[in-house]
Amino acid sequence: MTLHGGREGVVARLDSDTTRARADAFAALVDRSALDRAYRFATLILGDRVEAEDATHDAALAAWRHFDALRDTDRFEAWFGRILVNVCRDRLRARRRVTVRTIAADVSDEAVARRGPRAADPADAVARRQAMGQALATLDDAQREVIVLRFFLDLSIDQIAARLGSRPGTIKSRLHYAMRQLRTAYVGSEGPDGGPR
Amino acid sequence: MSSQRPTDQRPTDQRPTAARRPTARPDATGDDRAFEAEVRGALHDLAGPPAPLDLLARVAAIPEQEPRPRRLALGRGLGLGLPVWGRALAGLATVVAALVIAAGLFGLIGSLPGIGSPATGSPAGPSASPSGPVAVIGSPQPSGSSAAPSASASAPATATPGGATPIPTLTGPAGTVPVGFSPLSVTFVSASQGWVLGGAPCGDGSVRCAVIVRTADGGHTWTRTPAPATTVGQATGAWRDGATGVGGIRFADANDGWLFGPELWITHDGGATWQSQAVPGGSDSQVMTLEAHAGLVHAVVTDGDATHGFQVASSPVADDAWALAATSLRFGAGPVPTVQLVLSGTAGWIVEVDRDVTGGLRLGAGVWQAWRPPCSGANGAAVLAAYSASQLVAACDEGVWGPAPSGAAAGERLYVSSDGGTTFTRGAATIPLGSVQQLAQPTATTVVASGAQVVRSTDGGATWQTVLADSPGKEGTIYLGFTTASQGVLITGGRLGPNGLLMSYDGGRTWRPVTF
Repeated sequence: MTLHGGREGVVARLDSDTTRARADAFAALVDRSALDRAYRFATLILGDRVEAEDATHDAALAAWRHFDALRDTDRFEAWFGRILVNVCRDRLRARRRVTVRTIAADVSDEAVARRGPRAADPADAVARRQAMGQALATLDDAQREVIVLRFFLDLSIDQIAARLGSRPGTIKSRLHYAMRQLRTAYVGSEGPDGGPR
Repeated sequence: MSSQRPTDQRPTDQRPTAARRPTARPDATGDDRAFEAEVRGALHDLAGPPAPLDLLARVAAIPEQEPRPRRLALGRGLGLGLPVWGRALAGLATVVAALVIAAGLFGLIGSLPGIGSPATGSPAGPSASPSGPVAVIGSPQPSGSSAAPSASASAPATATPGGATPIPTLTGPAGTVPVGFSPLSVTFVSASQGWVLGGAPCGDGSVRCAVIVRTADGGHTWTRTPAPATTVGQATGAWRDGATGVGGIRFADANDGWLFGPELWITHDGGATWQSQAVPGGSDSQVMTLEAHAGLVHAVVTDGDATHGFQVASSPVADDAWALAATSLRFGAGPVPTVQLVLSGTAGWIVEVDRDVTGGLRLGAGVWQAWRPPCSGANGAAVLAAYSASQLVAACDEGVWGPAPSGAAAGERLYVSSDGGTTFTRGAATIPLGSVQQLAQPTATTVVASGAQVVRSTDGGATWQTVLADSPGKEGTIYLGFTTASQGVLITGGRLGPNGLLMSYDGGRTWRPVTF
């Protein structure tokens, strides 16, 4: 690898124009917003920001290695999303345990303010988020997966099914039971005086 | 809910205050949309901040590091695929290139000066693992079986074997099990004598130092013994560039023992002193797993290169004369190849899982040879356990990455062999665990499996009884094994702890927690 002056100043030399075009196309798709989305998704699935960072990198690396297989760039998000889901699943399986770490919610004043009137009381928001984080931690991997895909990435049932390689009916059922479990755990965290235990 | 808890037994300072009490939480009969909105908002909070800048830089550097598609092990990170002689220079060059490219791609030029860590914070940071072929004396602890571990509050940080980042030492009273001790690995050489490797917070609290405790009465009482200056908790079961520390402990007898994963440390005096040893297989090699039996110690090692895969290094337990087996295991198609090593008598088995079962080796007549492990077509992971050189079992997680065999429903099933793994019989019943994390076979017909719960079968897997419903907790189990037909040990928790250790003295029927 030789360094020399390049388009953005100092860049590493790539081996051919074809590779450069490939790299440019990759960079255009795997942009900051895609990585933000992927990293935050992985954080929710893995419950660990350091591991989420590694998973996002690994997914991007896998995407680069198989980039030629992506025929339609309009389908990049779903394609990359499937890779990321698989990387996260592999990491969970590599642990050979159910990961249910509770991650700290962003409960800064700014974050609370962004949430609007339903969480006007910052302390109330803290309690709610902590309770929800604990409730999410009671879900198994598959349940947490569909919850995050549905309510964080806002995917439809069909889109989730395509991403996970399952039938829509299966996803619908899994989502139903996941929500039921989540609600039970969330309500179950209610203390004797109405506050979270 | 409140009717089930008429009084709050918690200390006053742990009770929610009125100010923290949610005012309008939807309950089980509330509006679905309101709850969905609650979930949506919580997820966006829990997802945290956007991707860190060093991640953006690492991703931006990918095309520069790997101009053409190439199958390499997970985690090679920066310096990927470069010749050894060029790694140091290329590492620096890649960091510069990555940061500049990231600035260009993401418009971050103004914010980049804040990034100062080497290798942009990737796992491919400076390696502190043993890097040379020569073993280095690494134990800072006092010698002698009666010596107390180093525990001086003013002890300086100890250099790692490679002379890199100093490892902080534990502070606190000598000889006592430190506060926050969390067991990670356990080994017994008899029903009475065993050791536990664990970790306890040290330094500024951001890392955990290795701590070893020992029992001479079958796990009823434990005393702390010397441990080398290294950390625990980084081992993930997969090769990671620059990973350091240890995650496992094994003893072959009262004298010869090993700490491993990814580093390798050896004792020949019962753990009174420990020496760091270069991992067989090359300067980048790391120990994935290690077991000792019948006078030999076997370690599965890898340097993370797919062309080398997993190699097996073996040595007489007292000699440190490692030799690599001629046969190795290639990495599978998945991104996180892991291996399990099981020994019984003079026989041994290695199964590789990379999403599903991708390969295996078997030890026979002192030679490791290619072996087709069970569950190879089951589209899922496998966990092995052996009762003898001929009798072994495997829990196969069927139908995870594709259909289960014979059109069966997905689930964990027990495969049983009575000919040393040449053939297996697939059980009809499913093991009542979502995922079998650990497996043990204390007798020819008794099998114990653990995951979110612990279940036990006394008829070779035909029927199962739950023996521990919830004690393993949320993260499951990381070790299960039996020293005798009646005495077993279980570690609950995960890699990062806090973990618990339980022992059984009735063949796995009941388990009691150990207090260190």
